[in-house]
Amino acid sequence: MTHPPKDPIDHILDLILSDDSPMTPEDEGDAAETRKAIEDAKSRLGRERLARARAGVMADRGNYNITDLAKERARKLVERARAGDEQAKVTLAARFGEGAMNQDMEAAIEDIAELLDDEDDAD
Amino acid sequence: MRMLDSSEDHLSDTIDPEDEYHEPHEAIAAFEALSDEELRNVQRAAKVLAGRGNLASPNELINEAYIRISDGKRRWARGQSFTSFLRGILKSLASDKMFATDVKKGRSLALPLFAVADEKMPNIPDNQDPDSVSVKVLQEEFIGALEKHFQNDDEMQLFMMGVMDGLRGRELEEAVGVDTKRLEALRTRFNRQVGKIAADIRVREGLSA
Repeated sequence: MTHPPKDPIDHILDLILSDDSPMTPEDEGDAAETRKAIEDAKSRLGRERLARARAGVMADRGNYNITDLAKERARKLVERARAGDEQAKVTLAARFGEGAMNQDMEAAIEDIAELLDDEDDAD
Repeated sequence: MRMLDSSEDHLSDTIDPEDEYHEPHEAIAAFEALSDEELRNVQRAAKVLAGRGNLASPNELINEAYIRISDGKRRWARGQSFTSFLRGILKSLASDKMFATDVKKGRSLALPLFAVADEKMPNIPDNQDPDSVSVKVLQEEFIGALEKHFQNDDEMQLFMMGVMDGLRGRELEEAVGVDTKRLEALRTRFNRQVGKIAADIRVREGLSA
C-alpha cells in the first residue's frame, strides 16, 4: 500500500500530532474536547446499533411464516366470536387480550395465528 | 509492510490481505488509549482542519473519524502510527463533500439557513475534482492565516517554511538558524498558537469554535 505524498498541511499536522511537551492547565480544555468527541461518538454508535436491532426485529416479524393451520384456527375463532359465540369471545379475551377483536379482521387473524403458532412451538 | 517483487509472486496467494490491517477493535483500543498529550494534539490538528470550506467543527471531525474506524470503513495499516492514520482520516473528512453536506444538513435544521453565506463556500469549477480543490482551498486559507499571524516574526516564518517543507531536527535548526533549545521554544509557541488561530478563523466566519 502506498501513501500519497505529504503536502504542507500534512507536515504542519505531523508537527502538531508529535508534540510531546507536557500538559499545562491551558491544554486541559483541548484534551477534554477530544474526550467529549469520543464519548459522543460512542453514544451515537450505541443509538445506531439499537436502531439496527429494532429494524431487525421488525423485519423478522414481517417474515414470520404463520402456518396455514394456525391461520385457519384463528379465523374460525374470530368468526365465532364475531357471530356472538360467548365461549369464543371469552377465549379470545383471555388468551389474546381485550384488544384482539378491535382490530380489522385480517390483522386480528394474523396476530392470533402468530400467537397460536408460538403456543404450539412451546408445547 | 513487506512488498512483493516478481520473484515472490507465487507467495501472493498465501498472504491474506486482511493481515495488512489492524482489526477495527484494535484501532478503537488505540484511539481510546491516547494519552492526555495526544488528545490535546488531536484536538489542535482537528482545529486546523475544521471549517476550511467545510462546516464541520473539530469535534464533528473527531466524532466521525471514530465512527468510521469502528465501522471498519477506515482501516489502520500495520506499521503505520495511529496518529498518522488519524491525521489521514481527519484530513479526508475535512475535504469530503458528502460529509460536509451531511454536516450542513444537520446544521441547517438547528440554525437559520443564512448561517453560512454562499460567497464563503469555495467556488469550484465543474471540471475540477471537488475533493482535491477543497484540500487546496483548506491549505491556502490556513497557511495564509498563519503567515498573516506571524508576519512580523521572521524566525517563526522561517520555522513554518521549514516545517511545511518537511524538515525536522537538525535540518530544521539549520534552515531557521537556531540551536536545539531555541527550536524547541519555537515549536512550543507554534503549537500553542495554531489551535487558537484556527479557532479565531472559525469564529470570524460565524462557525462555532
